[in-house]
Amino acid sequence: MKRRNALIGLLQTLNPIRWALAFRRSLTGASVTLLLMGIVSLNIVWGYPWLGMFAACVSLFVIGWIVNFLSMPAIHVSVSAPRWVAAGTFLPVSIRLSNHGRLPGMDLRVETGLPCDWLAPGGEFPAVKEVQLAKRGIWPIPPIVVESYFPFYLFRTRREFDSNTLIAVTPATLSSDHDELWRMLQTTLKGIAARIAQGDQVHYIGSREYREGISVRRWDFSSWARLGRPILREFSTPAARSVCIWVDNACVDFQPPRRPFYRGLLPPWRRLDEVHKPLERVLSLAASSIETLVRGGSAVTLSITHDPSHRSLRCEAGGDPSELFIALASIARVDPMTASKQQVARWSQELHNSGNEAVIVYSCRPRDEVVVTLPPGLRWVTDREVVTVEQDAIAARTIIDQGSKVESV
Amino acid sequence: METSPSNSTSKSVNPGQQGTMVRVDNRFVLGALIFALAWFVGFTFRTQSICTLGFLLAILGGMIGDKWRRRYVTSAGVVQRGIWGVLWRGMSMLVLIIGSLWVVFMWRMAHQVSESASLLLLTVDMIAHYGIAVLCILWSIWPQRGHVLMLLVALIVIVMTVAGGGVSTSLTAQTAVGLATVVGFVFAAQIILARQRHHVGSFDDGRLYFRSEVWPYALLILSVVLIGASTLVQVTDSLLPSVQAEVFAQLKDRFETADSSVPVSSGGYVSGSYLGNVQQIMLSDPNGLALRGYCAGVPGYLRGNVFDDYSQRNWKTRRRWLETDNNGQVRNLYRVKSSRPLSVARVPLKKPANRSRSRFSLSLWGADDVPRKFVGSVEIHGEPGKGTIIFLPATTMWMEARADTIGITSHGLVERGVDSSQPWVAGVAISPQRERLTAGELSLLTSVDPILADEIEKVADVVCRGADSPTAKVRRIADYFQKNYRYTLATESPPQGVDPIVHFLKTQHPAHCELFASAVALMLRTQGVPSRYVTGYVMDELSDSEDYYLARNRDAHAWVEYYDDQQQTWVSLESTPGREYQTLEIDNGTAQTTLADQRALELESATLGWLRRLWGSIVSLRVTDALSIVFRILQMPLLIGLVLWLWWRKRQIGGDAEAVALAAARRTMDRRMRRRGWNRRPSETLHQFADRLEQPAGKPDSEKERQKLAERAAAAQWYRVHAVELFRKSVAPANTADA
Repeated sequence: MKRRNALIGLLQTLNPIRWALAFRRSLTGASVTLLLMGIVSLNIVWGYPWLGMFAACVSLFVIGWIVNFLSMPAIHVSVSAPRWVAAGTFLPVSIRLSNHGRLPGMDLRVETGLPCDWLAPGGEFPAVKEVQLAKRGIWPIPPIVVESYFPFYLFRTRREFDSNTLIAVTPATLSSDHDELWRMLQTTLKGIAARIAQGDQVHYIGSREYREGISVRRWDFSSWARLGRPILREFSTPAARSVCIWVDNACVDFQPPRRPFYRGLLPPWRRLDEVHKPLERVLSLAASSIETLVRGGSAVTLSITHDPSHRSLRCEAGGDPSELFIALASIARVDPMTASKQQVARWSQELHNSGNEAVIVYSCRPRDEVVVTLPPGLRWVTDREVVTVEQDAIAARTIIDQGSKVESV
Repeated sequence: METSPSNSTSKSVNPGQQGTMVRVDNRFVLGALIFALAWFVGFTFRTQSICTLGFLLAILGGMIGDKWRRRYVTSAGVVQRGIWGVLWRGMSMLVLIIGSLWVVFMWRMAHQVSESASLLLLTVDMIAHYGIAVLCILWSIWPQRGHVLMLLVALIVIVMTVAGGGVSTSLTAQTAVGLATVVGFVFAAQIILARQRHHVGSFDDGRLYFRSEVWPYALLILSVVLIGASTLVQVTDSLLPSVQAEVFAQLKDRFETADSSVPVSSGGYVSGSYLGNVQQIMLSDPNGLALRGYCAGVPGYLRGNVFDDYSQRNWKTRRRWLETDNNGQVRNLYRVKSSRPLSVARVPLKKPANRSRSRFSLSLWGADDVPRKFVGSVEIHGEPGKGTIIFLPATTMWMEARADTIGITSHGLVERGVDSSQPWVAGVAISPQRERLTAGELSLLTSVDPILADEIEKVADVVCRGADSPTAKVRRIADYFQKNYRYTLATESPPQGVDPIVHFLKTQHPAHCELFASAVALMLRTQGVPSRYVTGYVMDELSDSEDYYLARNRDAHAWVEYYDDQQQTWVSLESTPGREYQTLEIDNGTAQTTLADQRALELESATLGWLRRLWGSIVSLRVTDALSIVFRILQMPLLIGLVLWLWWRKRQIGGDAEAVALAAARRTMDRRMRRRGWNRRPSETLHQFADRLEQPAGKPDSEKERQKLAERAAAAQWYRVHAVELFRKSVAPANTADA
């Protein structure tokens, strides 16, 4: 493999078309002018008195090109970026260029043209790069483009410096403005979160007088008015302590559309036509659900049905759900036909052991296609509907179908 | 222009960002470059006043545009024009550019097109002036950032001005033009392209920055480019003749094998390097103007090409200058011999042209052993578009032309160094100069291609039967052709594989001058008389205004020169029926005075040669010479000095650029404070000095006092921040070491 890569690298280096394209890219308005006038001044062969102009154009062109090529400093890029970013969102990443070479960098342009006139050996230059990654997964941060225009803006040397930094691109978050299904699901989730955070009224155990330092869940205004002192209503521990989210990553494959051959030259994070859209939507629903629940004051436990590591990730109420998002970012699709039976059994087992936790399953498959017994009250979320499981584990009642019906929780 | 330390509290942690920088307003730099270019064009075409006026109008336009632009500047400092503003600006620019083209065309071209005017020169003139107009328009619209098109237009202007005779074709002038172009171009490119690529949201105050860290490197590269350009001029100049010869030979072969009747060479002067070339020139555009001559009498035959070797329908020049050692062994062969100026030009031109001209001797051996009688002078105006051949009468003694050094071939032609776009003056003698031929030269000039020799010799023997002396043989041969042949331009083609000269001698068919001259030259050679084939023009047509003579394409001609071994001179011979050789004839009145002049000149040359040469050099010193001298003197010291300084600086820095940058910023600030009367004592720390600056010297009474106080407070703050940075700098390495 190494030998093959070396051979490909050598062929790419020796490719004359590549040279020609690189040369064309390196030209600026000044060098194009010099090239044109150099060609015109070749008429010295016919006796035109343009010897000096010919020498000026040729020497500026040749020496300018060589110096420009050699003057690009040896730059090391360090990036300060968050661990994850939602797919499709713009992220300003702060970068820091440091010159590790012996020669200084002059007349540099970083990314979108941010000028750096002088970068001394050992010096650093801060900049900001706007990153937008559209495809979910764990991807490297796109390389940092630095252009050198020294000397005199005659030529442009363009180099891409890899920061060697990976970033998790989590599923895109959903907006309730235009997404009926998510709006309904969000309402449900907010209700769950509120119940978990505040307790259910059915668990009322009594009232007590307010003292400083006591957390206020609900004021008992009628008692307060009657007694003239602030009175609190107290509830017992809520029925559900947290929400358990299961993401079913087994789903049937889809046939990607035929794409032109040159699309294969794009980096993987830009090949959007290869996306499994139902799975991505389900993951987006899951990510948005986690965010809603955590913000709403509920702890969330995330498990993945076909995960060889069998691990569950937990985020406490109001905590940082980064780990959960990163886990969602790294989920890979599994073919249902090849799914491990042990993992299905584990899933089934853990679902029934979830006790008093609210359970939501996110899956691309309809409920009836999944042969697993589910506890009553579980919500089965697909990319098209939300189903609440009744007493019968297999029989389900569709609460929402394509957003046409209102769920009654 | 101003100098200032950059903001030390910059967000950047780049150590080099703290150096000092010199800022020059872009408008000033671009304006200076455009003015220099306008002056160059104006000086060349004698339109300084109009070019300067155009430049001043551009300044005015720029000021008006700036005022107008300020109306559209938003509070954020961004120029925001509406759609009508953009349209109005675009339309006005279009109208200006098209209008200026019309104005320049009417001014420089429309009224000057005439039969005697060179269309090429007029076009060059118009393009150069239009280029200046476009530059001024673009500059008035974008005074600070310029436009990338200005680079191209500026180079076109330079090329056109050089073609129009702005500088001579000498090496010095060409070098100076090249180097000046390099310097101007890099400044303009730095301003224009840096602004074009400026980050949209970043600060741009429209100034050219010379950072203290960057300019030594930029100067170093510029110096290398200048040395490279100078070297390239030298190398190209030495290689160009052989390249030109090769290209012309290749093209000639290509055209001949194509067997085309298209007069491909009709655009240039007559060459005659192959049989049929003169005929083509004559037929293609018979009335086309080739030369104009201002002269008291008929200038007659003007030589432009001399050939000495014939084979396969081609004439070539094989004779070279020989350089021999003491033993007579040939050390070197060279095509031309350099001739330095004798003095500045003395003959006033009939038609004004460039002032800086010099006189050159065309003597082949340094000085004539027998003084020759001076007949008169001919002022010849060529057509630069037709080439660089210099046409002169056969007995020319000296010439005055725009050149530094000229190259003279062994056949007495001027081949290199003369600016042919300017007129040249030939000083004509009554007789040709003496010349001794070596054995090798005699052998070359009497040789005939063995394939042809037998056939030609047979005819020559018959013609010359009974003639003993070379002169008698020459007379016989010339008479033979004059009496037995007819002249025509519709020549009969020889059969396949038969040489046209042999066919011509055998069939005696009517022919044109090339065949007559070639046949005579070869016949003379078979009889042991050295001969050579000459082509040029016969200038004998007086213009309608009767103030100058004309040589048109139809006056192209070929004739022969033979060597008179008694007189040791080359004599011109006309063998074409109906033609007679003619040259400038002596006019007693002018001859006496000009002869006296000539003698005086020769006397002067002998006695005060070095002084006169020196004076001539000083008088004829041009701007390009001065530029060239400056570049030559400064190039290497500058390069070496810069390299040494950068090396020393790098050693001083020792990898700690930040410390050096801080020190440089501190020095600049100290200097500024000294100018305001505040000296930082050697024993004083930065904080102490800052405290001293802030100590009140009394209550400020006036606004000026208050301003001074504020300035001191700002300076004190700067010193404190600087001290903190120095402290950080000193602590950081220690921490690193601990780690």
